[in-house]
Amino acid sequence: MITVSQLYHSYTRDERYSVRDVSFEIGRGEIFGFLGPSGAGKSTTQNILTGLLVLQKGEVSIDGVPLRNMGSRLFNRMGVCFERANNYRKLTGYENLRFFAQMYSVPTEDPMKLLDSVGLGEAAHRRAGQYSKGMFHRLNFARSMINRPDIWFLDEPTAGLDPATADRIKGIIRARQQAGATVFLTTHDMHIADELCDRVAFIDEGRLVAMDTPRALKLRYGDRNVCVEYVRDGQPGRETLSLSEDKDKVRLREILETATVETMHSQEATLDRIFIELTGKELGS
Amino acid sequence: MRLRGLFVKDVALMWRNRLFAIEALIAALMVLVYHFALPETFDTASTLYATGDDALVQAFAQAGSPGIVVTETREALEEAMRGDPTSYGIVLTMQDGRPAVELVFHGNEPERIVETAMLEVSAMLDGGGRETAEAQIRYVYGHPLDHKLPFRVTVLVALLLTEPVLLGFFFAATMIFSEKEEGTARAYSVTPGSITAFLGSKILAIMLLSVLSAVIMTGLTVPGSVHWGWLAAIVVTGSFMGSALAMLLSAFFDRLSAAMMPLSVVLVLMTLPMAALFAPSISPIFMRLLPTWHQMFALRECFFPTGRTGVIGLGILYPLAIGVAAYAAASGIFVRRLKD
Ligand SMILES: Nc1ncnc2c1ncn2[C@@H]1O[C@H](COP(=O)(O)OP(=O)(O)O)[C@@H](O)[C@H]1O
Ligand SMILES: [Mg+2]
Repeated sequence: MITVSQLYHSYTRDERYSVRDVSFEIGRGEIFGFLGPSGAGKSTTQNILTGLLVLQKGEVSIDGVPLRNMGSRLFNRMGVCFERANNYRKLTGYENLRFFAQMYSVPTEDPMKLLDSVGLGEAAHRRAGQYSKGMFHRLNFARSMINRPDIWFLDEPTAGLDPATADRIKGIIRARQQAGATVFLTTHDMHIADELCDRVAFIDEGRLVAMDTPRALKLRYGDRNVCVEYVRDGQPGRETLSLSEDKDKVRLREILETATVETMHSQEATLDRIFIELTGKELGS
Repeated sequence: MRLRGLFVKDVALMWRNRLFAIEALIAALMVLVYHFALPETFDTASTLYATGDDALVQAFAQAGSPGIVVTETREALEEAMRGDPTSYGIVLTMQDGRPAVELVFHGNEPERIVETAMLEVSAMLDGGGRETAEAQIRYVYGHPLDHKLPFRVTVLVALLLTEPVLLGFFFAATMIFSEKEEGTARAYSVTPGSITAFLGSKILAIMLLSVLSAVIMTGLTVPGSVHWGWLAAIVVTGSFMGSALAMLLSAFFDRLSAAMMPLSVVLVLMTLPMAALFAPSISPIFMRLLPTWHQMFALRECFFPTGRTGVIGLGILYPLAIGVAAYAAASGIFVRRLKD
């Protein structure tokens, strides 16, 4: 559905690329996660795909049609949730959605229903400027689906939200996928990537370093770990050890022989750890 | 549908950002100034044009105040007066060995002004020790404007130019930068809506405000004797030009603080021609090239008709042309720059 090949972008229009040689394909109805630390080039990539940045070098096509030839028709089927929430502070939540609904020439969602779905029903008639940060963010998220997009770009949709709100948003994303939407999801939060995404791409310093289903990535790169809690000489201890490193295996045997093990369970590798393994960097905040 | 949505949004934002209130407040202040703070007349600034018998005119000019301008012929005098509504004229000739005086007015001066002028003139001539023939009075235009005071009308023209037309200039910039800083312009640019509609709706909203404020200001000052149709056309095209120019300038900057300097320079430049309203001798070529010069004289023509419809035409079409060019250029530049 979305095909990107050899994408480059330089803000300074020289050799300092913020995105370099990025290629990937997203299938219809897929949730594709773009995972990387802050400054990796995720938003830059999303902005090129949504037409906010000019396509300097490389090819992007949607359903086989080059992005350059899409025109404004494309916007009728595209939804974009920006990293930096951008609503009219002087308009109410309802007015914000009603205004944006009027900009499309396709059937749109009922603003009130949409507000209810993100928990802003009660605050619908308050000005967005009076919303808390989380509410403001949710309004932004709601706006991105006002035109029932079948291509949906989400830039850090859960960043800075409390867990309950983040769950609600994840639920909506899944429901939209069920309804047939293709989702491009940018995040530095490995939990949301792991839970939601059919496939994830790791991006670091503008380059793709790995791309696959979360499960395949874990099997390929991840090492299985064990977490042991023990007591030795009256002192409690807790260690996480890899099952593939010789040094750790020796250590594990030593603990089993010399200490009283209280609990021991194996842990699956996390996307976080795989990212560190591949790039030497934490996804972090 | 889309344009209506944009327009409703822009009017709502203007209202909530208190732009209507600001406009109303300034209009009210100006109406108060007009009624209570302006002198009824402005004798010192009004020019007296003189022509006729060389010796008499020379003597008269030397005896008189510095505001006297001598013209070659009677036609030249009347022509000069047409372009200068606060002026009056005097034609001095010798008849039967006695000086004869003919005073020329526009026809809208109050009785008192005419009387004062006659007294002044005879005083000046009497000072020369001559006996004069009875003064005659002639009116250049012949359609008095119910005794409206020219100075106040002149001030009103200046106010109408600054308040609705040029304030629209700042309002347009404010609205553009608010969309840029809130990021809502980016949000709009991923919808199918066009930039021309995005800018055009703001221009329409500002026009609405300009017309309201022009009507209120004029209505509360000189009702009745105004050509409302022309006035509306001048205000609408002026406001269009002002907001389109402000948008064009705003296209090059990210925040209002950075754009303040260039915006102010353009604004000052645009207001310069007002000097010519009060001192007709100021009229350098560069001022005549400015659209505000023509708007100003077109506005004056609405209150103070001299029958020169060409002046009104130019005051409408010139700003309209600049507005169209600025709007097209702004749209082109915003397509590329609004997104960043
Ligand atoms: N408007 C811009 N001008 C110049 N450099 C930018 C701009 N936006 C982002 N960058 C740079 O491009 C790189 C990638 O940024 P971004 O795509 O925002 O990263 P991410 O979304 O992964 O955090 C960073 O080094 C950032 O500093
Ligand atoms: Mg980002």
